[in-house]
Amino acid sequence: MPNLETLLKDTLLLTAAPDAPWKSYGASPGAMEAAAADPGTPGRWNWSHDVRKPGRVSGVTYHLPRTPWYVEQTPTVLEELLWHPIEVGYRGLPLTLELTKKFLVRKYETSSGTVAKGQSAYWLPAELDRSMLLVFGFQLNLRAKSKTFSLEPIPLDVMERDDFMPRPGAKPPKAPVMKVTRTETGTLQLVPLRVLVCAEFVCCQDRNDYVPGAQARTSRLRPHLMLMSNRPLEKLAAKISVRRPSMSTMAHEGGPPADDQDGMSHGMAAGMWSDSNSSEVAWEKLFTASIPPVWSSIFSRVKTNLPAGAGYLMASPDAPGGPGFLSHRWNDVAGRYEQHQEELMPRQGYFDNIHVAPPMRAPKSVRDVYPNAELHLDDITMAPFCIHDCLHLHWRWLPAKEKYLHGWDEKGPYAVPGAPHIPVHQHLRVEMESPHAYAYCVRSDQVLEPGRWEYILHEGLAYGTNAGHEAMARLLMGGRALLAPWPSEAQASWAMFYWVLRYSRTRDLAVARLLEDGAPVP
Amino acid sequence: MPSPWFDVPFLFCRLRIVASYTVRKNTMPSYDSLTTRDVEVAVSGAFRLQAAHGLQPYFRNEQVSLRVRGRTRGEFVLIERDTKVTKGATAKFAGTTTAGLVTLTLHPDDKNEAQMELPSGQGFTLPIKSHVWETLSYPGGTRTTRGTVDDEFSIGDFLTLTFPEKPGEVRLDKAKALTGFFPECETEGGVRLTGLLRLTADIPAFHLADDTLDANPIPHCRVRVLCPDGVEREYESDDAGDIFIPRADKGVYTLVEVLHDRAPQSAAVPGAWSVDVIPDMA
Repeated sequence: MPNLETLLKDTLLLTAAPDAPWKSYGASPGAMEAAAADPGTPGRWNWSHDVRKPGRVSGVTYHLPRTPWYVEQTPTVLEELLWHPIEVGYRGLPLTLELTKKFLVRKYETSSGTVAKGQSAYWLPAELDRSMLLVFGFQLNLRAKSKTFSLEPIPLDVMERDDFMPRPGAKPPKAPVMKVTRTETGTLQLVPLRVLVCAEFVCCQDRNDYVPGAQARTSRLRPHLMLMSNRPLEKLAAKISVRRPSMSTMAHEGGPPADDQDGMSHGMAAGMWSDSNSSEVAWEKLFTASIPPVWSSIFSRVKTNLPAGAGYLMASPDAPGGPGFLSHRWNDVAGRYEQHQEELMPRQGYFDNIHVAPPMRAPKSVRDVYPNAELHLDDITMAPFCIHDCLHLHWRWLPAKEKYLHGWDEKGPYAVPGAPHIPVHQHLRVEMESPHAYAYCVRSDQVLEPGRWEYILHEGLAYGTNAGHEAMARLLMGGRALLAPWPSEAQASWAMFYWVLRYSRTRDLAVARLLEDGAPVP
Repeated sequence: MPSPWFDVPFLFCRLRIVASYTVRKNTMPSYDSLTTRDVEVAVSGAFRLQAAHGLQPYFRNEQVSLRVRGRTRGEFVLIERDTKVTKGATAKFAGTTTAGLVTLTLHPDDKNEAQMELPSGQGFTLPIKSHVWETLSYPGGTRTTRGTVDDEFSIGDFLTLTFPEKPGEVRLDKAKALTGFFPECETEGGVRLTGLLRLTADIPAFHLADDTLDANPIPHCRVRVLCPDGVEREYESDDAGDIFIPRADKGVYTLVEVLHDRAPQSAAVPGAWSVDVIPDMA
C-alpha cells in the first residue's frame, strides 16, 4: 500500500523531475528538514505564487521569441489562476477542502524536467519549464466537539506510512475480533476520512502536439488538480478559474500596440467552438490550397464574444451521443443557409473548447475602403490555429488519428478518438466570469474509489506560440483564393485570412459561414 | 510524610510518549563538516506498578515492555579540499521492546514532584535494520556504497513530573527529561516530549485512539460491548478515550461495534486492534 512519496510519483512534475526539491509546511515537530524548493532558473514561463494564499497563481507571463508575425516580447498569459475549494461528500456529509496554508504539506518547484515518450500513460511527452506542485492533506478531526465535523491537516507520520492510502480495488481489511479479559486493555484505532490533494502548475516548453496535423506550436500549461481519498467519496465538485487580463499587451511586428495601424484590437474576448465530427472533414487536408479551413467545414457550433454569465455543459456521462443539434451552414452557391443535424460522440456536450484572445483587425487601408460595421473588419476572431496571444483549452477534439487528441475511457486518457478529455464520470461546465475569464467546473456524482487518483483539468491549457512557416504559407494560400474580391492588401493579411474563414462576403454584408449558436436563422 | 499514596497497592499506567530530536551541527569544528541526526519515535505501553514503599511512596515493575514505532536518520558530511565524504544511516522500525524496569517515586510535598525512571541499558531495546550509505565525491567522480546492518534502538530516561492528588492524568510535555530518552541525543535543547501518563486505580477494558503517531484519544465515542452474561451494553469513552467496565475476574468482553450515530466518529472506520496484557495483575 502506498505512502505519500510513492503516491506523488504519479504527479506530472515528479514524473518529469523525480528529484525536484521541496519545502515542507505544517510538519510535526522534529520532522526532517526538507531541502528548500528551488525557485528555478528563468525560463520562458514566469509566474508568482505566495504560500500564504496557495490556491492562487498570478502574473503568468510567457517570453515569446521573435517570429515572422511578431517581435520578441513577454505578454501576460494569465492575470491569475484560482483553485477554488473542493467539495466532496462522504457518508452523506458535505465537506469543503480549502486549499489554504493550514493544509499545505509540501511545495515542489523545478525549472526543468522531461517526460519521455512512453514513460507515462497519463502524461504526454514534455520538457518542463518553471513548474510547481502543491500537496495538501485533509482529515476529519475525530476529536472535534461532539456532534460536529471539522477538518485538520493530516499528520506527517500518517503520510509516511505504507498504508497511508489503500491500493485501488483493495478490499477493506476484515474487522478484527475485539475481545479482552479482566487483565487486558484492548485498544482500537479509529481511522478518519483522509483526502490528499495535489495542485500542479506545470508549464511546458513548446511542442507541436496540441493540434491536429502537428502544424502549430503551443506551450502547454497544466494547472490540474489530483485528488485521492482513503474512503469512497460520493460526490465531488471542483472549480478552477482561468483569468486573462482584460487587455492584451502583445505588440505586432513593426508597430507599437494599439495604434490605428495595429492588426489587433487588444481587448480580450472569448469564443467557444465545437469540432465537426464529420468523417469527410480531415484536418490533414486543411493545409492544401484547395480546402481552406472555413468554419462551416471544420466546426459544428460556435459562439464568440461570450459575455459574463454565459455557461454551458461541455461534457457529461449523461450525454448519449448520436444525432444531435442542428447547425446552419451557409451555401455560397445557393445563397442560403442549409440545416445539418450534427452527429455527436458519447459524453460530448455543448462546446469542445474555449479560446481567450484579442480579436484582430483588417489592415487600416481595407477598413478605410469598407467602413461598414456590418462587415466586422475591426473584430476578427482568430480560428483555427490562433497563435497571437491566444490561450487554448480543448476538452474534446474531433475524432483524429493522433493519440494525443484522443479522450478518456474508463481506464484513462488518450484512449478514444473524439471522446472528451476528462474522466468518464465527470460533468464539465464552463462558465464565463467576465469576457476574458472563465471557470472550469467539474462535478461527479459517481462514487470515487479509494486509493485512485481523480484528475481535474487533466487536459490542460496551451498558449499559442508559433506555427510552421511552410504550413502557414499553404494555409494562407488556401484562403487567398477566397479573398480575391478584396483589395490586394487584404490578400496578404492574416486578419483578413481569418475573416474569410468565418465569413462569406455578400455585397457589403458579412455572412457567417457557420451561423453562431443562438443567432436567428435568416 | 503521610500521604494517601502510601495506601495505594497498585497503579495502573497507560503511557504514551512521542519524542523527537533534530540536530544539525559541525561536530568537528576544525573541519568543514556537518552532522545531522533526526529521530522521531512513539512509545506506548500499559502496565501495572506494584507498591514497594520506603520513605516515599514508591512503585515498580521490572517486566514492562513497550511498543515502539519510529524512524531515525543520521548523516555525517566532511569536506576536505576537493573531496566530500558522506556517511549515513536511516531506519524505520516498529515493534515491542525487551522488558525493562519502570519505577515511580512520589514526593508528596508542596510541589508534588515524582520521578519516573526507565533506566537506559536495562531493557527497552528493539533490534532494527539500518540502511547505511557512504559516498565519496572527488574530482574524478563519485563512488557510493550502500548496505543494511543489524542495529539496536533503545530508550530510557529519568523523567521529573508533577503527580496528581489522586490517580489521574499526567501530561508529559511538562515533564523534565534528564538523559534524553534515546541514545546519542543531547538533553539540552534536544528532545521534544509529548504524551500522557494516565494513572488509574483499575485498567480500562477498551481504549479508543486515532491511528496517528500521537495516538490521540477519541473521547465521547459510543460502543456496543458483549458482556460475559450474554447481554450487549452500550458504553461511552471518557475524555481520555478510555472505557472502564467493572469486570468480573473471569469472562470475556467483546467490543462488537463503534456506534456511528454521532459526529464526528460517524465519519471514522475501525483500524488496527491491539491488546495490552497486565500479566501480573491479581
